[in-house]
Amino acid sequence: MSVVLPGPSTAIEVAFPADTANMAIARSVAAAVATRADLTVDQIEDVRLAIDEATAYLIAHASPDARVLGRLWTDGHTFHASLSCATESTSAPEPEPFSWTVLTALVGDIDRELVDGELVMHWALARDHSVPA
Amino acid sequence: MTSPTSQARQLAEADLFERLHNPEATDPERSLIRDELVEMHLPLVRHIARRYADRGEPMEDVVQAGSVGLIHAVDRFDPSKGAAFTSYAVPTITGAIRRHFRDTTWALKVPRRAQELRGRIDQAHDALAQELGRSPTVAEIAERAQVDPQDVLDSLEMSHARSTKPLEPQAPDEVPLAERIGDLDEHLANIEDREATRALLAVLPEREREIVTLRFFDGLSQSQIAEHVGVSQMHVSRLLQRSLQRLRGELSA
Repeated sequence: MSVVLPGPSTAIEVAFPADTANMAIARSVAAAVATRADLTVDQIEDVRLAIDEATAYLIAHASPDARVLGRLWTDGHTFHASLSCATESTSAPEPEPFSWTVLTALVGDIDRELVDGELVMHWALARDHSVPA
Repeated sequence: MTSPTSQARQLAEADLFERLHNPEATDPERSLIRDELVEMHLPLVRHIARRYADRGEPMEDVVQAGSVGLIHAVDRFDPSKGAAFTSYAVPTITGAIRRHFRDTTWALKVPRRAQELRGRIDQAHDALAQELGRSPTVAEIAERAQVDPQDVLDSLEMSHARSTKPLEPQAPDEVPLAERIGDLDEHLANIEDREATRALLAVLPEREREIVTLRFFDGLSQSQIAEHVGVSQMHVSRLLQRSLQRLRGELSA
């Protein structure tokens, strides 16, 4: 792994083969980590959906036999996800528009860049108790 | 996204919302504009619905629940607040889909302890949502239901696992179910949305359009189409695949 993902030493790491069959695992781990930020149940669902969209993007551009690496942590009442996966693309590929629409609607700004052959993304979701059920 | 097509879409969308909220618009006009806005964003609903494909609910039911959310979003969106419609619509659509899952029962039998726990947790969730006017946190539910936070998390997790058929292969040589939920299903779902699709079909050459229509609107088999059009079944298959690929490109453009 040539890229060192950001995040504190308390971060939870998940790594799995870049295959959509493994997305459910990443989703569950992220949901468990997200509860530490005391997010609402709906926001935890948002985290699941966002992880789906984000990993689907990485997997779609993964080089053969690549693994998706995720670092997940909370900082007070904010959940953070840093994800990476090796790619053969020479620049950060354009994401699928619907996917990106959903992801940005859920988590706001997303950092997305290509670093040493790895597609890296980071986003965060802060606790929001003002959203009506 | 700032591609020319998405910019054009955003302009068209802004224009439609402006006309929808124009006090001089007549009711029939409003209803037409509303329909157009809803249809414009149905692909977004289908995209989100597919994320829930592995939860054992019929896809058309999930799409329908999401579409209801979309209609509410169109009706309630206030463009004067300056936010993009999609950032308002996505949570409304996902909320409607989640409610659908909460309101439907499990397809599989779960252990009694899990059922009882689930009942208490659901009750606490609903009561708290009512009192707080927002979705409660795991900690709040645990306190109210007097259960361990881990149980709340487990219960949430279970609500994602109601399907009775495992997605993972059960034998080394078995094709995983996830792979058998083929692309074609997605196209079919798209194609069921007739109004949007008819317009899309215009991009296809005449023969391809005829084949797609015969296959998905008239329900003919590939062999029947082959006979009808006078080409081989293999060729029909290839033409269908190519056409669907093209339509998919148009839909996500």
